[in-house]
Amino acid sequence: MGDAAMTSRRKRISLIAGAAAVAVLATVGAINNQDVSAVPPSADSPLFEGLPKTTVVEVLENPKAQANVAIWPAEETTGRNALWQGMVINFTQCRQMLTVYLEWQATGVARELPPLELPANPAGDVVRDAKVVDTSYREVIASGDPAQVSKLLLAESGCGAWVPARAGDTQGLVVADVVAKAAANA
Amino acid sequence: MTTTNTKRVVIGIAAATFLLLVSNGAPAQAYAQDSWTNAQVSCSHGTYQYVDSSLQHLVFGDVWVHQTSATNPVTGEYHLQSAQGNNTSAKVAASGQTVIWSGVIASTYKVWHTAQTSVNCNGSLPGDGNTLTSGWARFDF
Repeated sequence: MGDAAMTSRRKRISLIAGAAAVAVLATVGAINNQDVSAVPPSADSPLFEGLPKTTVVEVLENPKAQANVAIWPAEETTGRNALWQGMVINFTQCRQMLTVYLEWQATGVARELPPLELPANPAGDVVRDAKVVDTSYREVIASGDPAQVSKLLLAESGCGAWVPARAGDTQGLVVADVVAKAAANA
Repeated sequence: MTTTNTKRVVIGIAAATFLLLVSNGAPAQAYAQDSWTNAQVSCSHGTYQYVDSSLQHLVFGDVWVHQTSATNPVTGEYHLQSAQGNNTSAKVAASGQTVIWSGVIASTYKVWHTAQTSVNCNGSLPGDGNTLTSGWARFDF
């Protein structure tokens, strides 16, 4: 094979290799935000220190909680961890709010919400964000109007829309279902 | 932020625009507006990126999301996810359109984008590719 032919062949090989590299990069670029590989933390992780263990396990096993985290990019560990912690706080407080509401309906007396339980090793802004919600919960209880509580628990964007009324019961009623029934019977 | 989203430029962040919405004697209400410019998002339906910077929505009220533009004709499907894992329904906005969620509880939210339907933004290359989108979200506080 002459020099000219060799040079031409090398060029073709270079072009093919370049095109292949571009294709691979484009494919990777298109999927790198779809994380299906990030391993969820263990319930024994220091991430959950200070939070109720049974609720931690419940949240880690909850399909909707898993789906919430799954859309996060794998490299955003802090955001993912903050969300895991936030959801544990959410499950805990949501059922506490349900108890407050049901007792309020039954007795006419609004019980105070238990103190906010926070992780010992907070990720990102989880504490700040939890306090936003905690403040709003305490404000509606202090309003003296149980309908203000039910409004939050029934809201599409509220915890009641997806947090199971009974811990771990992912097939049963969610908090909003119980609130709706109680409100209808009031 | 995602690798792709690191390219986005957020303008008008928390320097939030305080506006008085005085109408019919209603109490003054302020809002924060978070804008994104050229946030890189996927053209594949089902691939999500968040496009805002976690603004706090501090009162029970409305959240607005507006898609200003996209470099490819991608119609955005948006939903809000709170820092505690609560979600709104998904709403669809093409460029120039605004969607509104009413009765959104106080929390910190991210605005998540996916393409309403998959669009080929990648020409003859594999995959649907990405597009650059701009828009804003408005939260009450």
